[in-house]
Amino acid sequence: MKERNLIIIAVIAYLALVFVGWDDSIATSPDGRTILTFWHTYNDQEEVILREIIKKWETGNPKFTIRPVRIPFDGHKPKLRTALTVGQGPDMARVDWSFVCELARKNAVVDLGTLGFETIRAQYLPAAIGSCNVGGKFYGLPDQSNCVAMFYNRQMFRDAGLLPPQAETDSAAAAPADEFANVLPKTWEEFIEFGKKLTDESKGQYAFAMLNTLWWNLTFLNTYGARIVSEDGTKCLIDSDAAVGAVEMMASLFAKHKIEAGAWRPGAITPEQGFVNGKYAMIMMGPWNLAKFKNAKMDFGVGLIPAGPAGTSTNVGGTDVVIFKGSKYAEACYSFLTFFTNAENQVRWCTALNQLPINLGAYDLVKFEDQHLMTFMEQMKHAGPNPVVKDFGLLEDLVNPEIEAVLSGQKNAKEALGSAAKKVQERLLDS
Amino acid sequence: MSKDLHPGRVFAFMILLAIMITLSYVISGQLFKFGAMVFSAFTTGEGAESAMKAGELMLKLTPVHNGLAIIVSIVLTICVVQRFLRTKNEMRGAFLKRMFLYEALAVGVVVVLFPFFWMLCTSFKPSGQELVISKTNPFDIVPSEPTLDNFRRVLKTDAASVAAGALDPIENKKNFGTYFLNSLLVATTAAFLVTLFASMGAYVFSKKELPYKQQMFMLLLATMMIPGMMFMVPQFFMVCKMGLFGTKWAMFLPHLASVFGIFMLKQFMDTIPDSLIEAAQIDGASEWQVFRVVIVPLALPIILTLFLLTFLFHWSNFLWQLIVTNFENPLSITLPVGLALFRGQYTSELGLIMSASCFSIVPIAVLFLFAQRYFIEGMTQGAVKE
Repeated sequence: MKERNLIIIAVIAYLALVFVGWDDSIATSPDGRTILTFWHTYNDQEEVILREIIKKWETGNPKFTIRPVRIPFDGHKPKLRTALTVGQGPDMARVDWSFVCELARKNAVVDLGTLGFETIRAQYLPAAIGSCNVGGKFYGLPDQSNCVAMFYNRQMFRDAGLLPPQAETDSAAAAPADEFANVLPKTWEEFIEFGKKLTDESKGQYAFAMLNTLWWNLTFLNTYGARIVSEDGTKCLIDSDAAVGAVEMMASLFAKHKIEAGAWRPGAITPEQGFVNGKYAMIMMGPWNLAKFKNAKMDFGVGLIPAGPAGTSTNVGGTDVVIFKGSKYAEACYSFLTFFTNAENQVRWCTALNQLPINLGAYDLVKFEDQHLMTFMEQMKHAGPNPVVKDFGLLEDLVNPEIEAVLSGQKNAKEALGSAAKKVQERLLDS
Repeated sequence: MSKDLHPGRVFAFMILLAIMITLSYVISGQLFKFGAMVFSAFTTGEGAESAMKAGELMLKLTPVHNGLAIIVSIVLTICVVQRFLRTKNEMRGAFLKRMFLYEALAVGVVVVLFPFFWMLCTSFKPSGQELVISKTNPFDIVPSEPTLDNFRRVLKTDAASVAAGALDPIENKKNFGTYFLNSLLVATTAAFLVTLFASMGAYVFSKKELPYKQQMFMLLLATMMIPGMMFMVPQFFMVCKMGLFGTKWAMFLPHLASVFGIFMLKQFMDTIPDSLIEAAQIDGASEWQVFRVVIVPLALPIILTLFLLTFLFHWSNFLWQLIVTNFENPLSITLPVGLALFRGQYTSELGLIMSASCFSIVPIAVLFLFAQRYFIEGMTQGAVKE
């Protein structure tokens, strides 16, 4: 009887839910303007500024209205792939930089050259625009760009006697970046020397922690001047002497000098977690975690990546915006996207959100209160180009295990990278 | 009280007592601290400054929760010691065994519940402090500066969301409540319909005579060997052609034919004797009555198991729901998809994800609590065939 009552209550509750929540029609107020749909993956704060810029653009383009639609970044690729298959795609979208090549090869996005992009191409950061360059044509433009720099735990530097004690009075935010930058390692050789002083295995403290994915490893490779694929995208160059040198140096940090924590191994404490908890003194990280580390009340600094034979360098990440071929209003979309990424709006965007500009015109206009961001802007100028391939995920899948074999001492760098180059050539570039 | 205390047993008792005191102090200490933390978070307002105020309040409450933990440990110790001394000498071996068992179980409970406790604690942490571990005690995971901001942001009751919602009514609907309600409807309806269709299908395959029945069943089973991803695009195409894109029907309609469900129920129904069905038919029962009065009550544990499994599948089915969601309409966004909106390209809003997860586990926990008897019965019943 008791169970029967429970079932009756559950059924009544369910019916009430259906009555209240099944209807999914929503009232919209069409005002006669043409709607341009823009799928994006911005967060709450970014969306506020996006809407502000949209409003500005709409005042100059009264025939159109932009409808920004947020989709999860995690699923934006399958969502777009399936939506485009059945013709339900948007007019334009913000996508991960590595997705542009796939969309271009599938003939899904508009070649911006046909809309006059050549005249404004020089405005954009070369490393960032490189990800939109497929076979010499530009199929998108960057809207947000990132790179990584070296984060330092100042307290651990002081404890190791590498930072003058007078700096102890400085708070993390107020300390002048230049003063701290003077004591940082400038080259990988200096980095190793610093690392030995900062590592104390008995306390579980390490000088450095790194991840092992190709995107993160590009930083090392770029400081050695190594390239993954040739500029025309037809030849894999990952087995070059420069790349072998870079990977040998990476492996030596862990195996020979023992200053790297092995954070790339499955189940290890991640660089971010170890850094926040004072286990790792230095990690490579992007500007996206600056606010987090400040909230965690850390005393940290940011410096340039130590220089290799090719000088200091970094990788480049971020997102691009593309226009789909299914859109009937490609010119209006192009007008909006170029307006969205022009120098003036970039200044507004970057100062409000503490992000790096992608428009070179904005570089001189943006002034951040946070000196760490100025370091990132400096680092960004030295960024190396990303490999543009039709499936960056597959490239990672082919290369990462080989580099892991080197890091764990199972293979030497020449052998592993030779094997990786062969696989990439056969399965990705020639297929 | 017994006069001759066996030194070995006393030694074992002392060790177990020490473990018990440690366990009770640590567990009750964390629980009382958690209580103080929740109280502090509730009594202070929104923003980073309020979190600091809540931290100060927590500091003031430290003697209270520490004191309570000590009192609990003392009371427990007194009770156990009294119990031990009152126990007859020959029963003390059994007493110690039981004490050891309870302590082992307590450790087991801590291990099982720790991820949930971590989730609860993280949901109260301010942004940036989710991964910070206490230097003095790494197991002390209760935040020192708690805030309700994560819950406010998830439920869109924070100042910024209220202001944005007032300007845009569609934006106002993009909140956790909408996603939760949508998921509840989708998962419940799907689970009910799948169990209904699967039980009817299983009944036919198990008890009815059909030409090529075995072959048809094998053909159905063979479809289980094809990965679900293969169907995704054609199914999405069909859903769009049917005009169901972005509706709740689209979320589960292609998954209503559950071969796994038919297989599981058929295996169980094969164990129901045919004589029961024949007896019902002799008494004049129709086909529907045989199914409803004989088959369903007997197969209820396994049917409920299927209901739970289907509910769980649809409650957390991210990829399909992502594909059929019309993001222009927040009323079509479900929970797994809504939760993914908190993850960015490089960072995840761990605090927001955890506070949303605190709500999202409730239906599953409630369902499991109510139906656990049937669930466990159902899981084991299918395994034995006589």
